[in-house]
Amino acid sequence: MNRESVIIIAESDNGDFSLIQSGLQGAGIYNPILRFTSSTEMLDCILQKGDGPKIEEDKQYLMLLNVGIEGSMVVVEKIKEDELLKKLPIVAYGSKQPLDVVDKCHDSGCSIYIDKSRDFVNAIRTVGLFLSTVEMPQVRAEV
Amino acid sequence: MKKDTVILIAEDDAGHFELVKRNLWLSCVDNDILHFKDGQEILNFLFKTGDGPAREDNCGYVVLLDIRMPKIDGREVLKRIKEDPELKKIPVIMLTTTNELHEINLCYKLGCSFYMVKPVDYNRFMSAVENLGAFLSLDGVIVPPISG
Repeated sequence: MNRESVIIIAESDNGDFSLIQSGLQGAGIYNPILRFTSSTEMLDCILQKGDGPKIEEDKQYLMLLNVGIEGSMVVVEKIKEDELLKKLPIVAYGSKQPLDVVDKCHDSGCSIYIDKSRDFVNAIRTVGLFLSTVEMPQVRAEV
Repeated sequence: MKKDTVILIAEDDAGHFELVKRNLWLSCVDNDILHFKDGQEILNFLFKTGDGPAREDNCGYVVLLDIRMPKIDGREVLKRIKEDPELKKIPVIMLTTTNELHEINLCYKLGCSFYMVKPVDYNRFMSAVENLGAFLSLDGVIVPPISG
């Protein structure tokens, strides 16, 4: 991915957010990060509402989403139902989530689901190394 | 991901396939890897049509897909997988030489999980495949079984 690509991180826990940030940096990723702690903030950004940061037309994006955040699956649905926004790759993660939540991630078009309870510290660096070789889409571009 | 998840690689260049397979193995991927020479072959496997091998029920799959292939191209394969109510759950990773933004945007719109550009430089290509292999080998990566 290019250095301007933006990583959206939906994580309400400060400790886990730091863990993800340092894991990505350990993989050499210093891209801009937009962090949200609630699904409302996330939706405002993606749907270009409110006073907070908003998705820009020509930038490339990827989302890391903690599905434990209340309302996160509604956000996934809204993104994947929208003709433009559906391009956004969503790497969903969570720990001890009920099977139906994991199934829903697979059904609704998340790129992958990662079980955070299995050595997440090492995992996030490996995810970062992989993401450094991945190209991201311009979420709001017409195709 | 689980050891019984099967990696399907659709790639018309036999040399590239061997390189990808070898480097996935080097990065500790010990899952079965199946090769398809064109888009039609992999669709036959997934949709259980034709006379060749067909997928098994309740097995998990990951697809690595080239775009430029004979008979049916990778874009069309991706489209058909993602239009199927069950097969759409399969993570599809584009692995291609095309780095045009329009193509990247289009493949994500059609539902690919990730889009990787094969670096022209040999060592960078190998390192990219090793990173992919290490990612897929993570215990925490959950790939759903496909039924029906």
